[in-house]
Amino acid sequence: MKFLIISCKEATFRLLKHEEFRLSLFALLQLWLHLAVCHWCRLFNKQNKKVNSLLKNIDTTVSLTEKEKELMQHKLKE
Amino acid sequence: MVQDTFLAALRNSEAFKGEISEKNWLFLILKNKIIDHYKKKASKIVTSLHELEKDIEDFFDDSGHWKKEHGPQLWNSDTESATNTNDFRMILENCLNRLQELSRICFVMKYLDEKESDEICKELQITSSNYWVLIHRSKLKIRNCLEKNGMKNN
Repeated sequence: MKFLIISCKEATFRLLKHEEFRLSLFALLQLWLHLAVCHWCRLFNKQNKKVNSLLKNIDTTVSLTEKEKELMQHKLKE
Repeated sequence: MVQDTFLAALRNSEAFKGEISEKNWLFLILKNKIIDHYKKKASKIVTSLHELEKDIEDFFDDSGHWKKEHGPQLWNSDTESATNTNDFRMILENCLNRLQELSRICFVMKYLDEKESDEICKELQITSSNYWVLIHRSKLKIRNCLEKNGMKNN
């Protein structure tokens, strides 16, 4: 039965990879079993999803604020 | 960097003997500056990869399980609605600044610029396994940092 057990380090790593890749069926089974018994990793999974959705909603196209512009000009003068 | 070149040229203007034209002399300085820059970058990447594993050890013990003090804590259930994007952005920026340069670049490219992982690896010239270690680490750190800065259930 030991071959079914993975560590939390490995489980969190697989969760992140799973966002982008398909894991093998066996790897998924290990992950699923791990999540079934580990409340920390379940929590990590939930929070990770929340963070991802928050990150998606961030508007990355912001311009510099006036203060930053001033600071920059000031630095250039020096 | 171009500005640096002119500054360096000004500082060392006595050393300029007129053996080559001014233009070539400036280009020579610029070239050296560029080489220095990338040398610095490269050495940083090497050391940062060594530090990676050590950093992950902050969160997990020897057997790879969460350390009690660094494990995820319950988050306030209404953070979803309460976190307006501006607050979140400020916290996130703070957290990003605490990351190491290379992890930060990876994180920003993947999650904010929403680039493909292959593309990021190519652009940064890192292997995909190193890339995933960086992403893993930065995600752990960001999660932890967000938790400490306002997401935690009080």
